[in-house]
Amino acid sequence: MGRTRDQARTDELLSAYLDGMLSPRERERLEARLAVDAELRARLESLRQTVALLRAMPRVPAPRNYLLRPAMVAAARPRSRASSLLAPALSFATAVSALLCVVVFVANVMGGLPGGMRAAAPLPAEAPPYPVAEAATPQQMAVPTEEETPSPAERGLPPAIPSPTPSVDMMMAAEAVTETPAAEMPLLGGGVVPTATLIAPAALPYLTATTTVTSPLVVAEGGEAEAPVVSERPARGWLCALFLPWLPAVGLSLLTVGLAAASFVAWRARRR
Amino acid sequence: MDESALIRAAQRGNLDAFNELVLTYQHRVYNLAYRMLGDAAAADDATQETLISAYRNLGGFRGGSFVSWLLRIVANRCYDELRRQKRRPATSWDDFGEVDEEANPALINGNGSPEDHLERDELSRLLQAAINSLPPDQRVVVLLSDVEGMDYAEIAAAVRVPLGTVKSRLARGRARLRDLLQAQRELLPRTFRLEGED
Repeated sequence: MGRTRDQARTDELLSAYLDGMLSPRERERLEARLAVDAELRARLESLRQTVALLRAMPRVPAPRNYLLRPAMVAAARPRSRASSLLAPALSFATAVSALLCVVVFVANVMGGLPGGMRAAAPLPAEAPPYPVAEAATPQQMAVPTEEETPSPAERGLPPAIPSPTPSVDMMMAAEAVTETPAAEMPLLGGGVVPTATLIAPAALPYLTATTTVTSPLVVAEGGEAEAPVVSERPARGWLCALFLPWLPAVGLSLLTVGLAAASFVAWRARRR
Repeated sequence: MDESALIRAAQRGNLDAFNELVLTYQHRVYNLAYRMLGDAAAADDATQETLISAYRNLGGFRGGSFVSWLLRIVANRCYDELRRQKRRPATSWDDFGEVDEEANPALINGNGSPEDHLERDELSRLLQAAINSLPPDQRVVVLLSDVEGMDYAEIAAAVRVPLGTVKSRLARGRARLRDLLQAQRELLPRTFRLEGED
């Protein structure tokens, strides 16, 4: 009963021809072939008879009535349009959540590369919104000296405002800089140097008077900079900085799994 | 009440309105289920389940032909059932004559002389046996097209396949039926014997 590929193609043409589903060009070509090919005409005729037999088959009437009784549909009230859209909506939400999860995951992985950790260090709530001044290189981590420091004019900054005595606010702001998790970043990511330079607006006079602090340095009274003490909370800091950036990815993963399970249940309930 | 009014009432939970629709279309639903499954008991189950499912999902009916919507549900239900049975070998052409006719005396149908009756009955049996031997994907397309009279676009929507797939499945199904019927021409009633390809 096996048929060649050509026969199958011919039958497809003949079948579509019977249904009037050929393009005008296909129909013309087939009719030209039919005009000269008796075997093809016989093939078409037998296919036509087969279709006619199928169409003439008597309908089989239902052997009984299928009226629904209240008990049969007690738990099956017609669903509203909204509930019938539940399964597709859940599927869509699952897809969006999965996509977000991938994006966050990739962003975290990319953020782990050199120069990419800046996004992973959240500022404490009490810290003022410091603008990012410039990127720093590992060489800039060294405490700058007065000689190395370009003048404000050279650096294009406004001249320093003389401020003989720092106010309490300024000191707190400077401390806030040292308290940010960014201060702990050098310990992470295989010696990755944090490149964000956080400058408190209130402390700007100090910074401009001394240098650009490109690492989490504490500007001490008198303009001397000293390295922040980063070893006071090493273990906790490591753990926080290691896992905090992954929290959104983990959360989204869990959300995706939950939505996928809900979609599955919704589709099954819909099919029932 | 016209059909759209009955549908709207049924969508609001009016079971009597839905039962009016059931009485109108149950024969077509059952017929398709029987032709698809080739078994009266299975068709009975499929019909009942289809109508319950239709009632539950009436909110998703977006207008158009209600009977086409019902036939789409029953076709998909039977298609799933056939796929579940896939482990079992498809009905062989050798099983000719073993169609469950006694379980469904309604197969004997139509008016005319006793000879006509016999011929029609014989033809119906043979055709059903031939249909049963088709793979499910061809069977559903052939039945929706040549028994229910759906066009290609309606079939494509019903079985959720592209139009080109409908075209090729229909052609393969019809050609297979033709080959089967020609191979057993002597079993067909004289007036229904296929011509060609001797």
